[in-house]
Amino acid sequence: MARSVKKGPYMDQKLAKKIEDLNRLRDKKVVRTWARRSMIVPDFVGHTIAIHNGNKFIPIYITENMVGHKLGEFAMTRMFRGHARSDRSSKRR
Amino acid sequence: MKPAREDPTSGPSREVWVDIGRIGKPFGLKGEVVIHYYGDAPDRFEVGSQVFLVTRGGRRSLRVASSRRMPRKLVARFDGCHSIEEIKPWVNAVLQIRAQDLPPLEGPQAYHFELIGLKVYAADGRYLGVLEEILATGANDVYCIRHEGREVLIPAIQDAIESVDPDEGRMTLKNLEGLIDP
Repeated sequence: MARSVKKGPYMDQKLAKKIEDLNRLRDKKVVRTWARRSMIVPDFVGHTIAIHNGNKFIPIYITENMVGHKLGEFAMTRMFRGHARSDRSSKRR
Repeated sequence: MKPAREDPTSGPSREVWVDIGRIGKPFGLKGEVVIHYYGDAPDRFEVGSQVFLVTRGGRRSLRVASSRRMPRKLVARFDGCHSIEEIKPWVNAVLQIRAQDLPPLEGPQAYHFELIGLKVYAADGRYLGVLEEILATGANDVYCIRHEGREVLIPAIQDAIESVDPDEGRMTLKNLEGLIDP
């Protein structure tokens, strides 16, 4: 069952405060969090959040099209180790 | 730059080979085979493309005679293959191409085989380790840098990376607080 609209999106308050402080100071730094269930809100865009995957913190840069998703969706708890020396390309966002 | 795979038989001007896929099971009886490709797009297997099959007997050139896409794999036939019996010994063999045959990438992009093995330095010149692995997340890629049992994860974003120089085998990071030392 979906979360009640009346409550609004769930957001980890400690994380929200840290991001709010960074926005106020116009600062950029990597924020560590365990709050995988926290929803990504527009205030997070442009920040890099290190999300815990149960083992380590995965640094994720938040973009506009990630708004509305949960943080945990971007830090997989199981890693597929592919073919390292393949023709796959990596783009710096 | 640490090469993808060097050919020990090709003398001083070593060629760099890149894995592009693996032969799966035969498809039908007329010489078609399933190919599991490693890259982002199966463009390397378009009709007429040359690929190299690596088996215990060595490396041999093959030309793609036909190919059609399926989800995360494709079905292809190589020139001169007309029966399942010719394909069976190739099951699980790796397909490669020469690194210089890959199309150049535009903008801040690099092939994984170019990045893996780079020595990574912090903005202050401190040596952090070697880029050993690239993790694909739903968002940006993450570079795993390891040195003496210590691991640093760096997001593949412009805010974090100052420069990448595959020719010198060096990557320099920007001074982003919390990136290296929490």
